[in-house]
Amino acid sequence: MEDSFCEAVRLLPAFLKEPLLLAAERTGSTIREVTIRAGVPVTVSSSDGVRFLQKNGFLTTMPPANCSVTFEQVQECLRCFTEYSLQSAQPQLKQGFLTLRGGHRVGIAGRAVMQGKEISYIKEISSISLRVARSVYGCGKKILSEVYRKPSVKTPSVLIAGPPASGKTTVLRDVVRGLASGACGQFYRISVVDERSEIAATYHGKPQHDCGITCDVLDGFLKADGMQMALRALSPQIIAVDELGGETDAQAVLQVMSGGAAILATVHMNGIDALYKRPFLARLLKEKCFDFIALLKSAQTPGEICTVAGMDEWLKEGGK
Amino acid sequence: MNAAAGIILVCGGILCGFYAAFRYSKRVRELCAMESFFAQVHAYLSLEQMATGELFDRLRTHSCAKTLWFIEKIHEALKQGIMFPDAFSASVYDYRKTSAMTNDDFLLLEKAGGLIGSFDLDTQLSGICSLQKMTATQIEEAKTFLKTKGRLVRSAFILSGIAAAILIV
Repeated sequence: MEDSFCEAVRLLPAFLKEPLLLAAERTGSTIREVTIRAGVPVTVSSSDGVRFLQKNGFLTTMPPANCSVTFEQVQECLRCFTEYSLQSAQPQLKQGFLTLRGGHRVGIAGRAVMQGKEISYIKEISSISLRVARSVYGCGKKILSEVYRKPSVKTPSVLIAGPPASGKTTVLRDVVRGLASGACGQFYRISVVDERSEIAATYHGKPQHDCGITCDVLDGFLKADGMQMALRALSPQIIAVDELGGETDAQAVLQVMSGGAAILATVHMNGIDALYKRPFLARLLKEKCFDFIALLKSAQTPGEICTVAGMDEWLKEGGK
Repeated sequence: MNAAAGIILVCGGILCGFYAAFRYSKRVRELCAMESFFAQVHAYLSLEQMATGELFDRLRTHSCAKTLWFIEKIHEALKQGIMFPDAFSASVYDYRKTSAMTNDDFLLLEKAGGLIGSFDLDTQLSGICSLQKMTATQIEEAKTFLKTKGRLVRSAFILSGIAAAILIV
């Protein structure tokens, strides 16, 4: 059984921890996600697909009877995940997630309590999703070797694009780690703007994932603000961000480029054509903000890079 | 022989009397420490929103932890990775064996154990405020008992010791 899975479920109450550990021991595949919803059985996502958890630790393809989790048990799970410190977890919880030791992530769904226009808290949590964090060393090797082969590009800007759950963040983290660990012939100074604590997974001030020696992590900053701050305060050669999503981010990227730093970013993309269909992305591509574009395969093969191309080749081939 | 027995009875009466009175004053001391404990919890939570483990790490250095020694035990249990409700109930259970507080007083402590870390900050703070008010009421009651029953029990024990001694002599 994997250590990372044991670490992820260690805080769960016994009624869930034991069957999950048994299930992990029995199944040969790697469990990626565990979802606990009130009123239904626990679902386990692995490379085999979605399965339902029985009380005895067996996984079934159809929902078993009498294995539903109660609403109170969901609350209990959340309390356990926060180690009975809901007060200190509140700032993260109101954003809908929680980072655990080891970098594992808990996503929550419930009722938002509004204070003005802002969410002050999420209560009546009805479902919890636990994603098991795994650092995949070497998954960004293709990108790093491409960077290494082009010494003309002094500070590489890379866009990593892929469909949801294709491992964009994992690849980004590996590329950051490589560049900040001298894998491309030099130690690049990198600032990671980790808005949702997904890249470095900072827990109590300590990054849970290795991001390299010359890497600084700005945890919890909004992407645009964090990029500006990093540029002013840390003089990075490269700024890394996850999930560019709109005009504000695009504007911040352009400012970073004009400030002399390169950018490492990921973006959601369901097909190659989608790169040009999104106006903010089309603008960044038009401005030639990236030296390399890496496309990831699919959610079935997380972390696997389909192709890495230099921007010039990409434009020559019309993005095909 | 009778004189010796008489002296022993008088001394026994005095000791029992003072011990009974001491229990009343101990309850007052413990309740005052408990009020201070709640005040500290409220202050730390509202100012720093600190995690429960860290909260008890700070509280154990506070003066209230000298009287309420379960605070130190909770801190040690949390350090060992025991979940807070289990750590709290086990430590308070041990403390109960040596305490002079009543069941009603312990009910307040148990409520605090069910409250800390289990709800959002506002709920915790308002809960702690209510517990502080209830503790203040308990302190008033304990002080009244100390003045009335404490003296009465002490005098009764001493007098019965003397009476028994006279009878024997």
